[in-house]
Amino acid sequence: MPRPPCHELNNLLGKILGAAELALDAGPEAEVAAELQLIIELAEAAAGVVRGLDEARPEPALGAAGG
Amino acid sequence: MAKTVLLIDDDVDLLRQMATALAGSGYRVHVATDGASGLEQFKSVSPDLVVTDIIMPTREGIETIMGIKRERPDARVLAISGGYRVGPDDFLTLARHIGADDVLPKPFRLAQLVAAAARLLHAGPHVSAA
Repeated sequence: MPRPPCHELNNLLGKILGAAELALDAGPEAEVAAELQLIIELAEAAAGVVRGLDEARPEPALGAAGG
Repeated sequence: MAKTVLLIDDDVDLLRQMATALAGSGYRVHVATDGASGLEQFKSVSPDLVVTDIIMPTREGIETIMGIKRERPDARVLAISGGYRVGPDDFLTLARHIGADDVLPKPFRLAQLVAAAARLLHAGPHVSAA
């Protein structure tokens, strides 16, 4: 199955979110925790941008799976 | 006894992160990096829940879900995908149509994955939509 353009970006953002969450779970100092929280917020904002770009692109043909 | 979760995703970093989160929540976790080996593990492990990516090499997720449901119609499946649209629909809608019990679009928080797993595993007896 061909990978849609947003697929790789979403996987990357998922890994950034996951790394930040697991680092937060380890109980870092408050300053580090705040930076990790910011990373999570920024990754979620980026995910919204990717979603918007995907919705804005022309509808892919059936069977093309979005290229 | 701990519930068993089979994770299927070709992205090994994401697979490791999801496994860490679910194991940390008390689940016994098995992993596979493609649909073909995932289906093999499904047959040998008989997990309580399968979490599967959709876009994968060897055997993609839609085909994998169909294989799982053929094998065990009451198997609980959570489909995850970072690919959105295909034609007028999207991959996760397709996954629901062929039997996924719930879907989670990527990227997601690990906490969302754990919550979805808990919801599916603690839901009542499975009722097929068929």
